[in-house]
Amino acid sequence: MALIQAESRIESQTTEWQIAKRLLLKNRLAMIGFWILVILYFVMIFASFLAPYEQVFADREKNYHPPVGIHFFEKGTKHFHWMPFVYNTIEFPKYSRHYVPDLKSIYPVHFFFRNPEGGSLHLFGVEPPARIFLFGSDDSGRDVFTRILYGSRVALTIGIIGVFFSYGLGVTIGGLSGFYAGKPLPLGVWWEITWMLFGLLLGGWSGGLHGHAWQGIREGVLWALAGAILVRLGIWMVSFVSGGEKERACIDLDNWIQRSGEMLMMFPSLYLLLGLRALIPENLSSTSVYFLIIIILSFIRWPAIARIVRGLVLSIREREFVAAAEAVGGSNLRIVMRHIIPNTLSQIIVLVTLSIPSFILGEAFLSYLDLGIREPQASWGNMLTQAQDVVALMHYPWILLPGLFIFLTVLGFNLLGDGLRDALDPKMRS
Amino acid sequence: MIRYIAERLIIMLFLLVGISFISFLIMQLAPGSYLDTMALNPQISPTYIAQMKEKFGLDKPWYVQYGHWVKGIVPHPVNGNWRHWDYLDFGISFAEQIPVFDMLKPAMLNTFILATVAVVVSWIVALPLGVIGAVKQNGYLDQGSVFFAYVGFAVPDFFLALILLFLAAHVKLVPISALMTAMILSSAAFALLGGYFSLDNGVTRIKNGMNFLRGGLLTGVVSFGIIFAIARLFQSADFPIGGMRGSDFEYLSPWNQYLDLLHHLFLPTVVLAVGNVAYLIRQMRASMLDVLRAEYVTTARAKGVPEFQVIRKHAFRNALNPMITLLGFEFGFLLSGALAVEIVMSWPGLGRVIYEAIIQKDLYVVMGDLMLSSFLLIIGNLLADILLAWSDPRIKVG
Repeated sequence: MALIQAESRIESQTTEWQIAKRLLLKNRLAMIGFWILVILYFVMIFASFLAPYEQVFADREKNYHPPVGIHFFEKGTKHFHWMPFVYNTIEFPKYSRHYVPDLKSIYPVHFFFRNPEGGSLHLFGVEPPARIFLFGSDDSGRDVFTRILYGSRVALTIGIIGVFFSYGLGVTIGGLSGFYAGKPLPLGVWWEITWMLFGLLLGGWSGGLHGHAWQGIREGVLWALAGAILVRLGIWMVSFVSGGEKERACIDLDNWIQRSGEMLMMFPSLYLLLGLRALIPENLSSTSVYFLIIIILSFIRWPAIARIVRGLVLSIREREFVAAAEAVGGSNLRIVMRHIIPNTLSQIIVLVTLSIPSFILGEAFLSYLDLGIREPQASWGNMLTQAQDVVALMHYPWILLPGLFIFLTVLGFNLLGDGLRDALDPKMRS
Repeated sequence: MIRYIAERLIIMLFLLVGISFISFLIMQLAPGSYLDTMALNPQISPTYIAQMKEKFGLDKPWYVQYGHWVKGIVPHPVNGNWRHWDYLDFGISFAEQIPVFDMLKPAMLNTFILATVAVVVSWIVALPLGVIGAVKQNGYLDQGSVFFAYVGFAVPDFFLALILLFLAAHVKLVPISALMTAMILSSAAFALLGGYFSLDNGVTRIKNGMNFLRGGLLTGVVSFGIIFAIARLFQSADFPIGGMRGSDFEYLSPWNQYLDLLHHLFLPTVVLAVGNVAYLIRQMRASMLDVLRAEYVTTARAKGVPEFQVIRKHAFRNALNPMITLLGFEFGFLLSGALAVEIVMSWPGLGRVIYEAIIQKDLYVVMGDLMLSSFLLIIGNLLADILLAWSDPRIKVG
């Protein structure tokens, strides 16, 4: 009885977030998405243990090997074994990529197995020369299943890190844009003062680094003065172009941000992606390419995010509590940080979840074109590159399996994101 | 109206200047060039490379190069001769040794064909489904399109293209009946899953679940039926694995050339349309639902207007306005999608050209391609803007 009473008391005091959580838990589609993601991330974390082979392991004798069968009954004799086993296979005729099982001996599947050819402890494995290629092998005899597990490290992290970058950029710029919409920013003397300090430091640092202290001072003063004049000229030009007030130079920050964003949005995104990819030298390590892809994708995506955030901020800016905060003398920064951003949070969470897939797809596509993560590092995209060969695609369809995992991941994020939107948006609750 | 269009054209001009600058900047910052690769070839003399550098002004500072490039694109007199004018000179392709525009012109046409057909097909499919989805909410067509939208949205373009290529290569090997059975069985399996995990719970779940099941089945059967019917139409069940024209294209009669083009167009269009239809159905459904709640719809019903007229005249027309805005974004979406499809299915469009040019570091081709692809996008947006202004008089004034 007491329990019911306690529960009903909690019921009456539920916050928005609690309602949202309950709605989310009740949404079956969203929960499917959630569990798909939980399983995928679990697999990603323990990839090196769950995979039967190492990432770079290759059996040159067994390229394009079809998925191996796991048996309980011996072929022919129908003899039953408690432990599942596999057969070794022999390529017959030689170089035909046609494999026949060698029925002479069986190779039981061992759990917590360490391959005698070297490598770490794995959840399962078989003694060589038999191979446990669950999803078959690729053109150089590498286990597709193993590489899918390792490839998940790229795909599943790039989206998360990517949205941090792009939303950091998009929310900052969009927030500024929305906050200063309709409030042209006066270009006062503080622009020059800031520049002069910065120029003093910059010139002093570069001069001092290469010569003596007096050279540093001289260059610092030079940078500061020349820069200040240039800044003032720039301000005049900007205020002339953007039609600021005559007596006071003004810059409409919102206008400038939105126009430059629109300029970027006028490129079809994949064309821009390929164009920007051309900026990166070919011979970089996979890790650098990984981060550069994130930066490129963030750069492409910020205008869209900034535009949405600007809209959100504009609608919140007109609400009473912001006016109240302004009335009691809250600074701009404080109003943005304490009142506006927390109120856009629920929408941002939804947007973030729904835009993670674009990073996964972008990376997969670049890697598919061999412009992203390169061999030997596995990525779902670069595993699909082999399918570009139509003959391979026709005869060895298991090399398409990484695509299925891209599909599952994207589906998971989409389902979860839609569920979050339904749960967090008060308009959707009816 | 004319004033509005003129305004848009002026804005477009500014956008083009900005876009040309960004395209140029990107290629300027890119490390290495085609000439560097040529310099590694011992058969090409350094003097020739120096000549090429001088010819294209690659040894000049970037602003001179940019000016040179822009001057070639806008109408300009040839060699100072005011009688001969030249324009749209995007420079020369280092790899192919032909003017860039000669390379890009057919590619632009091919991309335009692909994108336009995909737009038309996906709008024809998506609009009725979206409207029905909104009018008969949670009906089996609605549930089917929701199901389809989730799947279509999550499949990467290039992966779908690969799967269709695989199917195209196998259609002649596997009996059609077996494929059809597999298709129906898999859609039934999906539908059963969908039925179990349906959107609502409680009493309506069983009804919705049944609808989801029927919807999933319908999606599978109908989509396969369409493929099958069209395959029969071409009197051969196999689809070409990529390319735009058959090897005997030149020897065909115009009508057969047209059929051949359609035959090659089919798979790329399907790939492009799947994602797009999924997106459009959702948008149309949401927009229609919004409008159906409006008071003028209630008024129309109260006046005794027949339901079909209410939907067609009062709801549908108003729900279409936000969709026309989307039409502008469509081009961007489809051009990007087309890039992936073109590369996988070797469709000779802008996307394929830019991919090859980037690999070869063919400076002027990449710049021209970026410029022209965004030009297509701007034209698309402009058309959508004009269409919107025409359909919604409020836009012109405000």
